[in-house]
Amino acid sequence: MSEKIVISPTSRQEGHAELVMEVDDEGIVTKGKYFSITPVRGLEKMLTGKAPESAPVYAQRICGVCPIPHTLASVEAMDDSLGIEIPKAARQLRELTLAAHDINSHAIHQFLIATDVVPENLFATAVNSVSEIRKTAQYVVDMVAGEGIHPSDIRIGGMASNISEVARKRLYARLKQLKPKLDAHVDLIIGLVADKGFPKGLGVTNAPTLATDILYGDRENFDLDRFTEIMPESWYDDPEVAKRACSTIPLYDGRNVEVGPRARAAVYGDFKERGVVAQHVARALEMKTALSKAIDILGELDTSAPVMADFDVTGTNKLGVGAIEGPRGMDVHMAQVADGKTQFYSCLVPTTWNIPTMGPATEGFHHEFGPHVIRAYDPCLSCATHMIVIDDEDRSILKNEMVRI
Amino acid sequence: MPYSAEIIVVGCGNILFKDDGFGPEVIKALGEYSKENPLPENVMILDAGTGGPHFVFSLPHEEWKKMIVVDIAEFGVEPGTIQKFSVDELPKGSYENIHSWPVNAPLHDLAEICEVIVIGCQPENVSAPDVEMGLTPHVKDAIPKAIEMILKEIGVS
Repeated sequence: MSEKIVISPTSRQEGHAELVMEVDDEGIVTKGKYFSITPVRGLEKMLTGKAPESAPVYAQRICGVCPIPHTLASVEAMDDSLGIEIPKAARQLRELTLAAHDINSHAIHQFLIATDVVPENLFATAVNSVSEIRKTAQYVVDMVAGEGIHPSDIRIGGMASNISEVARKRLYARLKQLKPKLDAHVDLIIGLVADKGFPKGLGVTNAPTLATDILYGDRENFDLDRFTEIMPESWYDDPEVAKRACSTIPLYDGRNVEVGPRARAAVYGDFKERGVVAQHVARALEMKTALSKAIDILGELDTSAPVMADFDVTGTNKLGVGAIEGPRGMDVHMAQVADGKTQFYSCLVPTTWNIPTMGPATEGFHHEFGPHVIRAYDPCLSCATHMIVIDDEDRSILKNEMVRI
Repeated sequence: MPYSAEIIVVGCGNILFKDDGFGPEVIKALGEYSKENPLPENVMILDAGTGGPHFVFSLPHEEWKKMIVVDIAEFGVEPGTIQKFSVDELPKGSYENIHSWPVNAPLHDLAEICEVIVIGCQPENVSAPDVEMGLTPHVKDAIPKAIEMILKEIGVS
């Protein structure tokens, strides 16, 4: 006799989602479905007709967790639409900002999973370690990008200003000091995840991995022609789930995918492992990669170099793509500018990519492991909700049709 | 380190959802006010948007002695009414639903480390999940009163 187990909302993540698992007599999940129940928002509609400079300012308000990746993806999409080549130093400062944010965000996730993997006697050690790393990482974002939450100095065309030589030296020294602490922290997390003794194969799926870069993001590696988007009722076989699901299902080459730290390590590194433990390990190791990158940039940065390109804001209606590898995966913003105004804007945010993959990832193991599988993706639903609204008056939603952007 | 100040005034809420933008709008207005009337050096003001729990409340700073949180609060009175709350009096759900933070009440933990007060304004219309900008008139008119209360809390005026 099969039974249905529903966890709603799933906990220790941003936004609201529901996990529905069909289980057999032994409690083993035979069918897992995960879907967002955070409702429709419609930010993209609001940006059309506005000045391009408005896009990053509003995009960074989509969610209180990933304001930095959204700001970067937004300016990158605008840069691309307007045909802007940003100066080298500006690119370095943007990369430095994202690397620091990555470290901060991954550390927050480790705080959220601490009750799953950290034994009581090590709890204080782990939490203090997370706090110290986060403070330093956020200090970098604050100094480099103008403000730590809503980075005001990341602008279309580059950055508002370069950092001072004094700031560069100070940040360089700070991050060098952080290195041994971060290395120890990463070892601690990887060790604790291993000690937890998750069953072998937990969370392993056959979904392909999708990433555009090892750390920052590269629009050249995102092929819009391979992307399609379908409505939830074409995806979920349970009509009740389909009706309640709030996000469209994005596919690449017609398949659901996995994005995030493990995907980046698999596509651009040598990382072969799959599943829950692999996701935690890849996320932890990526903190080291990000710190090395940040230290390298601070070592090389020319603080007297220009950071803002000359550009014309008129636009040619070219479809611009900004692909940023956010902590939770690939964050793609698309924009078209003509006559000095945004004509089209769209966001494909990280967790939306993972949603169709996360449910099936719970299958084959006891349902008690379901939430662990979900948390390994570090889902953030606040911005992952995305529906195509066709009627502004009654907000009715286009259904049953394949939609292409 | 970021946000080092003895007194930190944190505006919370989402400007994309009408009256939920009250906190950030108060910070903006306070910033304008402070150009003419500088605030004491130990005071920092911050528009945290919806990033308060993630980027501020969960990372206590050694220097903080007092935190003044500015936000909307549903307490069943006329829209635009402002009231000072202690953390213990916070209307239920104020940091769970609107800001969808999964860790319960980070402000309660923070209150053990420094003094925390909340300046709450009764909203008229929070448009979430629909994006609509701009405060409703009663809530907008409450900004000067909020600033007056904040100035009193930081010991100016």
